[in-house]
Amino acid sequence: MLEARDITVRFGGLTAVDGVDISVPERGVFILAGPNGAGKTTLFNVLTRICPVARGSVKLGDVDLLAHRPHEIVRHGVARSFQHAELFPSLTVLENVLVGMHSRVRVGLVGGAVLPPAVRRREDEARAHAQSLLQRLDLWRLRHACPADLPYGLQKLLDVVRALVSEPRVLLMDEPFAGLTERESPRLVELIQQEGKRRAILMIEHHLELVMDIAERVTVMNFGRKIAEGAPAAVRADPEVIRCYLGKSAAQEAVAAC
Amino acid sequence: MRRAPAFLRVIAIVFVAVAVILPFALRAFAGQREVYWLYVVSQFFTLAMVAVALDLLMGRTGQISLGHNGFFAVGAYTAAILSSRYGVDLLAAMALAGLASAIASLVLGFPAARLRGHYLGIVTFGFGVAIDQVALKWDALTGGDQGLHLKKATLAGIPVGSPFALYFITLAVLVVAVFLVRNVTHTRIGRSFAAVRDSEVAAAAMGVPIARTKVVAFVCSAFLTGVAGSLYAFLAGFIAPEDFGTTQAMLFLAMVVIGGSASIPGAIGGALVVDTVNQAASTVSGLSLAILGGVIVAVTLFFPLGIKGLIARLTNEDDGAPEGSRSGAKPVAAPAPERPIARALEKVGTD
Repeated sequence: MLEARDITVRFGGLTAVDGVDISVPERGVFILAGPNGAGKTTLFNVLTRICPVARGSVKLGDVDLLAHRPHEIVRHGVARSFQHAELFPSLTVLENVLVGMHSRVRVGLVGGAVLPPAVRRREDEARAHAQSLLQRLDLWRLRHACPADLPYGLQKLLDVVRALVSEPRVLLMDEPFAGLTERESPRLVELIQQEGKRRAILMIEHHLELVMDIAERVTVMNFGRKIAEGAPAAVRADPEVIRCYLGKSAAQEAVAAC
Repeated sequence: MRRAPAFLRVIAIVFVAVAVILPFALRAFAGQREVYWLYVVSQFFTLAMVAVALDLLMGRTGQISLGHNGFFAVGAYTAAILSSRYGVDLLAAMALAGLASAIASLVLGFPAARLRGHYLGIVTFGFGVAIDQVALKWDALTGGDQGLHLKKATLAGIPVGSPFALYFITLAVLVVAVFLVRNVTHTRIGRSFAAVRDSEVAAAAMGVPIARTKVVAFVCSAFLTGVAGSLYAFLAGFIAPEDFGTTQAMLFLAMVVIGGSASIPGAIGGALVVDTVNQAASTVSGLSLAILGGVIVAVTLFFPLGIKGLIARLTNEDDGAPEGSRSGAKPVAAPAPERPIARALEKVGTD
């Protein structure tokens, strides 16, 4: 469904992403892994049009995503969470989630100002949808809180909820487990498992052990290039992957041990 | 929609009740000073409307404007020209004044959508200065330094030019403006204003068109400011270019800074403080601006969160926002934008 081909991104003389192909079917959980600076977040930024490409194509079904502006991407079905929860600190938890529904709620300036019953109903429906998602992650009780008052782990969960509330076809999650406590992580794993049955989830994640059981495929990048792709267990045993994560000597030891 | 805290609802009801009773009290007790005080309070209502409009742009959307005196002038001159030359009635003149300011804001809004910080500040400041000069030099349209006299206001053929009638019309327009702005800020478009202010990248990822949202905020703010300008003109009965100088732009800015950010009661309170100090200081010949400046510096230094901060202290919450934030939980990561206007002004020096 989501097909990115030959993605190349250059920042001046630095090639941050170099000819990467990645494809994601309609459902399932897929991992994008790699050490810091591998180009994973840059690839996400390309998929959501935050970052321009030097070369390549991105298609979601028949839709050429590169032909659209950043704010149009979510309307076509690609939503994302951020590595450092990019929440809106002046809005409450509930309002943050409602912004995630911006492209789905049909309330204009005049309607919002005058608030006729039909507009109130649309706003109420949006709130009800946001409520159901917040309740799933036990965040509803914090709906009036300022995001900055939440522990970092809850901010990350809220970031995920805000992306998910638009009911995307593809959900991009940038290190969603970073900063989560041992109590919070299982809640997110459960959510990812459930949502992976309804939509495609492409997730940047270093903690492979957390998601090993739920991921269908792992893609590993290093220095802007794709170096491995396949089932989680196979990728973890890949000498190239071990080398890029642990260094050359560790890779040689691992190969010798085999 | 989130309801305002009980304290603020009581304040709003008391404000409107006092405002409704005041003219009758003045008629009973003020004697010959009745007209003067009606004029002073009516003009405060127009300033309050400007403060609410500017707060929508600066407090909610994080867009700095140092040129709202220009939109105020466009509204005032539009109403004055329509009234003096064509005898257009008050309601139509108000609507067209708002429209003229909104159109003027489009000229600024499109470049402004791609500017931020000091660049935006300078562009808007330039607009305010330019409008002032256009009003001075375009004699045929504006009357130049001779100014323009307005005809007595009428509404659907009924004369409403008395200070008493204009007072209630201005109050009613302020109440409607507050109602509309309040609704907008609590629904989809208002949320997108705040989202753009807080994080353009995240807002775009959520489907918010950044440039369009900034332009819409500019247009809304300019429309309300233009309407306020038209009421100012009808109340004064005569306008001239010196009514709309850069000092006025700074007073508008001071109202919003003193009020605190993203707060309608704060903006109205800021207008009250600035207008009261301005009126009181004007009795000290030659020093009025110095006194006003000193008060602004003092308020900004000792009450950095402005009137909104005082309200929060009184109600023990942040302008009706977070029940959860009263839980005592400490901020862990992203800092709350407690002073977005201050941050916007800081950007003027740092971007």
